[in-house]
Amino acid sequence: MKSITSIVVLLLLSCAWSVPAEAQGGYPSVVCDDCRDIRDNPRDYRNFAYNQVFAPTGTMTYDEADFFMVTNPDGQSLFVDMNMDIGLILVDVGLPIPLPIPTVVSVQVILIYENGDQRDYRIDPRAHPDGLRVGGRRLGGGSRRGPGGGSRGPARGNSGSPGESPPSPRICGITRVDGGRGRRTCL
Amino acid sequence: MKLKLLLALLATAAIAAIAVYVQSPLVVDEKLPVAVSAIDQSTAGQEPLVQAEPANVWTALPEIETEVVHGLEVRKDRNCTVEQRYIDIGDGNVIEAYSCTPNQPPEPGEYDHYDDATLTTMAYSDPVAAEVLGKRLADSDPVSARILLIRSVALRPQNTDPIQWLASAYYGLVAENGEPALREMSENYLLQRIAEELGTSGATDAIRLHLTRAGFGEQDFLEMEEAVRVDLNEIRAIQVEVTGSSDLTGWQL
Repeated sequence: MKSITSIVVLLLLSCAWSVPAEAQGGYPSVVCDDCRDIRDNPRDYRNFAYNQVFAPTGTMTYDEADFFMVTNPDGQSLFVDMNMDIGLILVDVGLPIPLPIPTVVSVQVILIYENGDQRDYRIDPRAHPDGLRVGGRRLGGGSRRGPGGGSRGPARGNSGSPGESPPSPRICGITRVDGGRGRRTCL
Repeated sequence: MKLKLLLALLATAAIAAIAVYVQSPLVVDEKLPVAVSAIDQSTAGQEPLVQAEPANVWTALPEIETEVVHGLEVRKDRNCTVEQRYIDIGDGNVIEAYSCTPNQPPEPGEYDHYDDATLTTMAYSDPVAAEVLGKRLADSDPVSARILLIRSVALRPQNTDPIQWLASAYYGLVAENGEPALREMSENYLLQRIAEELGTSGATDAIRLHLTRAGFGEQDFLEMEEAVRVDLNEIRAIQVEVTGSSDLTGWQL
């Protein structure tokens, strides 16, 4: 009889142990190896959270991504509260009328710091089907400077030497990065 | 007596097991679709018609298959290896967390092997080069990134993805500690309005709503329209400079 009681107790305990993610406080805890300082680079955490669901390397389901903790290798942590706006999009599939398909039209990512500070972001998943960049890594493999180590950008001026490539035209545009009215800037 | 006690214990165990099973994320069937990106690509630019309650549509979305690794429920279609980690958070405390290391590095893009100088030269008339370099520089040199991504759209106006990428990736902040992030939202709105003028419908709906809630009035939006006009003129000037003509009409050079 004692052994049967022990089995029952073990059964009860195994139920308690079967959901370790929940047991940690009801949310998953995830390490972001590429995330930099939590205050200087909050976008790293936002992008990492987004990638957990929407990037090809994503691991999380919607339920897990609802609320979870992100920690960088230095032990800095914050909480992520992620919500999605669902909309119906009309898709022409060759039928007489377009087919309405439910899809995520906007992702809200709220970063919650230990002291209660919050940053609220909205991401359009249609603009980032491959995920978002995390950390200081540059997209693509190109180097900042060319192999010759010269100045950035195309050669300017007019050397006129035979055999050299002609000077490239300048690339200019309107910039408005710091707000206010735009101004013309050239690379 | 012992038999009754045993039966009571068994009943309790059964109830506990059922309760845990129902509460556990292991059996929740409301999964976010992996296929969303595929749907999005095929429907990019189309206007969302109806905002529906998530609970009403989850069942219509494709289901994601999951499995349990190290006690965690993860997607089966992941392209990474799940590891259990212990991170020292200071004060003698260690937390348990997991990470997922990609199984192989991402495929390099067609233009990734070009250095910045080469891409800058190519970007004069190549929209892809302008886009690749613009995205590459976005962190370190946002001014150049904006010029290049606008240029990419000017060279290929049917593809407004580069400026929508910039708007969402770098100007997606809506509020900080409850305070509206007006600078970011304004730039986001401006870029989305340009995309809208070039044919991407519905791009500004959400951000316009946020700006209005933050106190943006009629006059503020009129000033934004002036800024949109300046950028559209710039786009037209690029098109005329590179190809000799422009399809854009309605704005003064």
